[in-house]
Amino acid sequence: METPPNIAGPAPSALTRPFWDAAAQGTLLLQYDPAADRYQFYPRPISIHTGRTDMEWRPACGRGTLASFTRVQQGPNAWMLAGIDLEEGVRVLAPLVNIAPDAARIGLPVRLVWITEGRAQPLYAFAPAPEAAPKVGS
Amino acid sequence: MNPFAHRAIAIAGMAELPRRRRSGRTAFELAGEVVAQLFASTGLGPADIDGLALNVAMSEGAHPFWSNVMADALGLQPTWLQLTDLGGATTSGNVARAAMAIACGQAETVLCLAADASTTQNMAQQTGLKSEFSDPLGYAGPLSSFGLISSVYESRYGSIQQGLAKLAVAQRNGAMANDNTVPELRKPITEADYHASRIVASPLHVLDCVMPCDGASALLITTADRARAIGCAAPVFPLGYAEITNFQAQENLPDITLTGHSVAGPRALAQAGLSPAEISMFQPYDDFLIAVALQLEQIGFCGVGEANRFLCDNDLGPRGLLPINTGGGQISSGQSGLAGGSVNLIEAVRQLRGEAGARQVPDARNAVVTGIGAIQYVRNWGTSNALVLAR
Repeated sequence: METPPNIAGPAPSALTRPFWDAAAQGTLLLQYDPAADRYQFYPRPISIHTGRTDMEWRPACGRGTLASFTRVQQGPNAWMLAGIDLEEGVRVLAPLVNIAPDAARIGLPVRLVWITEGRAQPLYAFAPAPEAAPKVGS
Repeated sequence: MNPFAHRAIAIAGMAELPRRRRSGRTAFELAGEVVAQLFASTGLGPADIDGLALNVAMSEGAHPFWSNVMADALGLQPTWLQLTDLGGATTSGNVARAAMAIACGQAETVLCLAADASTTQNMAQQTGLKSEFSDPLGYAGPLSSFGLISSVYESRYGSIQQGLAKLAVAQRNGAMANDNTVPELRKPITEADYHASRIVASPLHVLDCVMPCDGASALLITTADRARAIGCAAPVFPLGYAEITNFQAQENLPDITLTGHSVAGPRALAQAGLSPAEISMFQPYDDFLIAVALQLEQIGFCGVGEANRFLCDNDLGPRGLLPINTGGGQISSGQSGLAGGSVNLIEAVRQLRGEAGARQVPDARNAVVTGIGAIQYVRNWGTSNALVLAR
């Protein structure tokens, strides 16, 4: 399976620690602004919709569609990178796995999966919906 | 005073160093050399400069006092000082900022300096979003973003690779006639070379992308009166400028192909009182060829989705309907780090001064120069700006 290089992120900050703690348990958290009834992603210090800080963490349902994609090639390594539009109305940058490079098309239904093998931190990724499995590479 | 009205502010001098990969020199050394050239060609010296605008340099990383240190290195005592971190939009942005500062009386004679030596030393570091939510997920820098943008564009409007191949060749022809092109790029290419070049982030080929290098440039901005007084024979006037950052900031699911140039381009042209059909040449920021196509459409030189046809149907060289990046742009003459926005800007000024030699645009009256700064999360570029220049 083509996956991105194993690049470690920085130690989580106070803002992002709940996100990565949940990721370790296989849950993708989104910030939700109850005042706007809207989500946002990536985690930010303030709601981009209302400017308020009283946001909640809510788990993403994990269903979405392919909004954009590219197959990155660096030397011998290649992987698919995608923009995914989640049902909650946010766009996530993530690897696209379990897919032939020429099978990607805008609008393709996808499901959340996790890349765990050899990773200190589980990576959220997406796969074509019919083939989605709860864990990939573990 | 409106700095863009009545030709009140002028670009009264310019200098540019040849671009080199891994020059082994520092941004200070490059800055000193290009400023000395500017002084020699204008007859001015350090004591004549009372304003300085410059770029963040990747070669210097997060130097907390970069503009002060540069002023001291050059022997300047500015009453107005500007360090700009708008990436590729920095240099055109600095011309506009200098014009505004002069109009407000904060300075009279401003040095707009651009220098970076990032292929000799790169100390830039992007913390936060990029290191935590992009790089570990497989983000491989701007080419990833332009691959994502291209996939959406091509799925909506069809392949644009024929038009981009033609643009690649036209820009390379300009670069071959440009003495400041990096030596590695001073060789001809064909459309077949473009199509056959290696894929780096589908559908992008390596010939869609810039080659980084070291380089520096300098512009002298002052009042039209002072430009005349110092004997400037070919002043170039900024007639319009517009800038927008983080276009669609509150939109969670924006159209990734729609950029801030759809706002900044028409706004700058309106301020200049010009329509796209009246523009003599287009010198757009070109980190990737698809960016030129999006700007052609969104500034209004052709319709949305029509860039491929526009590029295929028109002569893109200096004698065409709309000459594009006549000196090669960054893609064919080198991207000098965060000084890279000056490549296209300097070419526009050179053309409007009538100093472009074999690639001179006949009867060049005006030019649109653009900048692109930074890349946002799963969107397109952060800052979009457009500067209309005229002789």
